[in-house]
Amino acid sequence: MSWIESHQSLSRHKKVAGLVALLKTDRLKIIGHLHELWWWGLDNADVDGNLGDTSNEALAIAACWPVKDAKRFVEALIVVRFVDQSERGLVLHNWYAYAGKLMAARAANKERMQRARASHVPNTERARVALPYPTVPNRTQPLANASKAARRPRARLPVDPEYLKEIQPAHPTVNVCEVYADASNRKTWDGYKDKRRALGKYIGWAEEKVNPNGRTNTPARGSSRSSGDEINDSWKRYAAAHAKPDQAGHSARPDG
Amino acid sequence: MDDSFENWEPSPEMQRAYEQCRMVASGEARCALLAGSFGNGKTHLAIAALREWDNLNTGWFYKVPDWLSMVKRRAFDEGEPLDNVLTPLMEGRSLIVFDDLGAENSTDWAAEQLYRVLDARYDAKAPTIITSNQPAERLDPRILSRYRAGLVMCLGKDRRDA
Repeated sequence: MSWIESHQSLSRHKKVAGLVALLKTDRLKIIGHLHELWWWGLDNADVDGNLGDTSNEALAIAACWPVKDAKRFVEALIVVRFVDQSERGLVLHNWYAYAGKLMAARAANKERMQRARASHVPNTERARVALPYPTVPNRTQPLANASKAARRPRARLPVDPEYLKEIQPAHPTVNVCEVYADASNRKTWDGYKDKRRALGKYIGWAEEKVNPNGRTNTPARGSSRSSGDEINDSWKRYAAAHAKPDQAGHSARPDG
Repeated sequence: MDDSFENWEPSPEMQRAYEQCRMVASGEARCALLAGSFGNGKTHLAIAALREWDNLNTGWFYKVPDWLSMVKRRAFDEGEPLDNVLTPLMEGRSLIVFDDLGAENSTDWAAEQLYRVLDARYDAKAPTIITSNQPAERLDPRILSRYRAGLVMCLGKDRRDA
């Protein structure tokens, strides 16, 4: 959206008064017609206000003046010097000072922006060329020659066998490896943040299945509290499973 | 909290726990994990170690459920960055006691924060005492694995009944 300067002095300017007298019309209407002419000039005049071979009728249409009275309108504009008559045709008076320099500035800005965009586009193109990453399969496309099952692999729980061995002693009633295999076959674990904890819950369910009245790994909120003996037994089992603890006494009192 | 080693009533079942806490307080050991049934004096020994460490000046004592609730309040209600809340505990050079591990309402988030702090303290060899009167299965095996070095079974009778 473009704009022009519109000075408050225009309303009482002697040129406007001259037009009112020549065209015998309302001052406010004259101001409106002038603005229509200048707004049109933004798109149709050059920075110096040259209108080229624009006819009187075209100028009248531009200013929303009745076409049949175009000659009188243009002549009046020339008399009061809102429009100049030159060898090259009609010229908007003093256009460069009021609008032409703005147009020049806008043109320069437009050119600058075009240059900036032009310099950016190659980068964008390079970025596009880099995608998709050649080492990553395009998951939006089905794998060629893949069976339906292979296209939807189950996410196995990413826990290592050592971890399973480590927690087995704490779950004497179930085979942790079997529970792990079962869990991997039954569930997709992508949504679980802490996979080990998720496995722990699954082991809890398995334990509950084996011994419905026994403890579960993760007792439900409000479930009965373990008795003192149960707690001690649990820790005895744990300690027995880890009979050779790490060095208990390695000194590490930090300074400070 | 006037629990100390001086007013500790020794018992054979708790002798190892007593010695381990003294070792932590003197810097000979970096951790103690006091586990077993309730009421046998685990918290007493932990506080005694804190007192011995620096006369309760620089050490910290946290009930795990209360600590997690404090972390949640500061991080979510007061908008403090979570790292600002946790990092001082991770870097701590002073003794910290986490009492009643496993008694908290364990969500994945809570377990993760607890693990982050205890793991960082383990890596930093920061002195830490943990007490728990929950079954071993209830606790995060990652934490147990790290603090197994200081595990002491506390099988004494409930002193509160006495």
